[in-house]
Amino acid sequence: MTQSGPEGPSPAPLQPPAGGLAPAPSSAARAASPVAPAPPAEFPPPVRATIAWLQGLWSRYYAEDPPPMPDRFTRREFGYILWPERPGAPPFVRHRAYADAARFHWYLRKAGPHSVYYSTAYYRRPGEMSMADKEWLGAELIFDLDADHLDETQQAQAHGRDMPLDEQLRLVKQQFIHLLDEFLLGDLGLDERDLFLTFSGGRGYHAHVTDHRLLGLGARERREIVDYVTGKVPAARGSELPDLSPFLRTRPVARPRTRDPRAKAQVAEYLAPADAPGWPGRLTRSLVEVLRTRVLEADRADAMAWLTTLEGVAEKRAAQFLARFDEERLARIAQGYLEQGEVVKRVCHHVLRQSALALGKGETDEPVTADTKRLIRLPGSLHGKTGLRVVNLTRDDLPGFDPLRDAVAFPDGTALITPRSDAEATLAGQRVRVAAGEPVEVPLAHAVFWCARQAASLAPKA
Amino acid sequence: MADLVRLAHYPFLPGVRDAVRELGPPVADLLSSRRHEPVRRRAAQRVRRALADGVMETGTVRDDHDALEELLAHAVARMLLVCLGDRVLASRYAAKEAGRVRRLLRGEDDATVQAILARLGVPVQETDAAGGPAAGPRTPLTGAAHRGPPDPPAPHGAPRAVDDAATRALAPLGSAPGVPAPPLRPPHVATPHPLPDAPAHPAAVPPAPWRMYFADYLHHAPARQEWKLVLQTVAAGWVPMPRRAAEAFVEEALRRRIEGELHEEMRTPAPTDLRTALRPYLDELGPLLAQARTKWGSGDFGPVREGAFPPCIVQLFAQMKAGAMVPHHGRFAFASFLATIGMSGDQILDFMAQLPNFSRDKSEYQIRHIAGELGVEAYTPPGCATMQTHGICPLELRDDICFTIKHPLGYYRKRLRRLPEPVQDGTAKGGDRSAPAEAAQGGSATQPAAPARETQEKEVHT
Repeated sequence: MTQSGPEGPSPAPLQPPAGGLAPAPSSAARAASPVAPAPPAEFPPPVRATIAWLQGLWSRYYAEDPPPMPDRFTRREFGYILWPERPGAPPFVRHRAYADAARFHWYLRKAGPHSVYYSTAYYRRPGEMSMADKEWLGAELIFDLDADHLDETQQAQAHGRDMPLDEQLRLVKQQFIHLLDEFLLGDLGLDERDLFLTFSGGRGYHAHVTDHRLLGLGARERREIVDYVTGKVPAARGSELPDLSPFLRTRPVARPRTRDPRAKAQVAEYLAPADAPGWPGRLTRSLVEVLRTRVLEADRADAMAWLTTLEGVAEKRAAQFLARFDEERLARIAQGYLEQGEVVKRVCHHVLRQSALALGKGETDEPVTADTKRLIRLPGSLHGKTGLRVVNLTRDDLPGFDPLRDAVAFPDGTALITPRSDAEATLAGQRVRVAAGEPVEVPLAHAVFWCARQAASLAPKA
Repeated sequence: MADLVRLAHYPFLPGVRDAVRELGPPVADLLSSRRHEPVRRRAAQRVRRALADGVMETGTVRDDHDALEELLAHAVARMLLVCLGDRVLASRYAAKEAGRVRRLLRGEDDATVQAILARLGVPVQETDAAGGPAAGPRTPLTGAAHRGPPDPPAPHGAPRAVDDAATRALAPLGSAPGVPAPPLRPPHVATPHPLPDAPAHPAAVPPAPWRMYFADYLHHAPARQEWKLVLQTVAAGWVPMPRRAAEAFVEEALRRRIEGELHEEMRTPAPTDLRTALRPYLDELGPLLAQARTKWGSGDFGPVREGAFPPCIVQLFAQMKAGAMVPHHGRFAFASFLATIGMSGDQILDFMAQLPNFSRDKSEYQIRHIAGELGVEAYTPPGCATMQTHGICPLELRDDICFTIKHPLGYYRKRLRRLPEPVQDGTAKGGDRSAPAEAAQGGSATQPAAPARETQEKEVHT
């Protein structure tokens, strides 16, 4: 489940408590059996107390700091994940609509819901239950980046180690800025005033585009935008690698080398210069970047090792390439001149298809962007698994933004908790480490963080 | 009076309706008098062209007389199509007619192409030498369909049924009553960003005569791979439109328009008077249509091949066959899948006749509804994520293709490519990547208890 929120009535359930952390029932297990295995019937008292406590904190937060209404809120559907009263999937309520902010804020104070969502779509009658009755009027174009989806995070997981949270957040912010600068504000020319950025409260960021020209885009068109951002160039027939020939410009060579009419026409290949707009320029820039870091600025052994990982580049060719490659050649490549001898040209082709495209592309969660009826977290609301705020940001805010410091909703006070396992977290600048089993007093932010993800429960007061 | 010859070539330009009204014969004459036999024969020829492979040709138009005949033949051809009532044929006709116009465009100048783009509601902006917006008079950026002058009031006297349908058919494209107007999109304010100065590059592409805002590009682009946004140069939100692209976009806009209008007209059965008048031609075309349909399938997919069905569909069928209670979502997925890959309502019902306790009467309405035969567009089957949410995806039966797709149609497409070509005598030639076992089993080794079928691959004839 992405942090932006589910679109259907069954999000990933809060894990039922157990001795250790119970793994979330996999979607495979849920789907394969016609009825989910029966969870324990009741929460044990410590868990119930913890949930009640969290709910109280949430309610108080919403009383003191109600989130602003989204634009045209009378046209939006609202949804909530509520704190569960028994183990199993927590209740998910949707199809809520409000004629005024007061009622909405009253509800938040009263129920202190675990998570709050609103529709990216505008509807004529958002409170209706069926899509046809709601009457879709258009939807924001949204992008959702979550640290979960990054290659680096997944690779780390595959190797059995979990990347630390702050590193994940740093990486995802980097990708988010790349998405904004290169694609949304860059190629697509969107105006910053039409962009609405948030930290998701979990492990990522959302971008909402409210330019009225884009509200009517359908799912197919939004998927095309994702393909654009993620550089999804179709593969050539019979290959799995992208076919980059549309980006190569050819020009017949002035003086043909042979008079043989059967010989293939001699053409020279060019890339767009590095400062050209759109993907053509980006491709060249990425190629230059890769060649600079992996070859020019690497020592010979590393460069050889990397070159030979490319399919189609064996040791002999790699060595020849290294012998011929230098700063001057790189500068010419930056201008788009690929014709620098057969070896250089061939290797550049391999680098382009196997490495450069991957470097230049953006990241985004495809099903979220393609969905014209998505529910997404409300800015100013709390994330029920972390206790962090969904924070509104501008492009200028981003570089200096540190979620673990700037999105903390409960910066003051302390609480007594019983951790379930050894844990460590840095929030609001404070690094706290706890050991399993023993009740311990920790800053409120940490207490909420751990209790919300069921890594701890509230300890009974001594 | 507008140039008749020109109108005959482009029968969607403004003025067609007036021309036909003023110069053409009364409809009854057109349909039955011997004098207009050539028109009717030409109309039948157009429909025959749509049935066969090969292109639609522009009739020889030497003078105003030829031009009027050609125009009238267009109208009668549409009447024939409506009488035949076949949506796939209508789509083919639309595609071929649009192709005909595209070929004609090659001989036209930019101004003509631009006028046609405007007439078909494809919003482009003229560019200057640097690729920015032109200073001079611009193509109106309406975004909405540019309509000709309002239709003249209907003539007096009680119109006969034939007249109504005929009048519908004679109306120039885009102004046919009953066709819903395309949603009015707000005209976009051009905020031109001049392209960065590109150094003169040996392979520099000359600037295109037009450019299009990317949101419009996404909406109007043909669905073929070469027009994917990721393969275009998008600079500050604008996509250059060279001549060739403009022609392709004209073709696509025209195709959609003709197809949309024909499908809309087919929602109500053709009046009996019309059928009677055109009986001789329908009698000839009917059998040709039936024969051609056996080769068609749903355009995209070709003839239906059971051996390429994804595990979910196979499993659903197996469950239904075993008499198990399949939930609504499963039955819907099954029927909509079959409908989308090219089976008609009748064929789906025939296919399902194998099921125990299958009541054709009870299911007929629902199946026809899903297949789009009751006036509403056909439904597309749900994707893998939705199927998993509803517990329809048989997770443990997923094979290697399953993990590379997100939709059962995607599976079907990929699997089709791997299947060996069926040969008329029932044996199979080797395919490109098919395992020998596939031909023998008609399915991959991981296929579960499949519906009982022959060991050979079987085509379900449409």
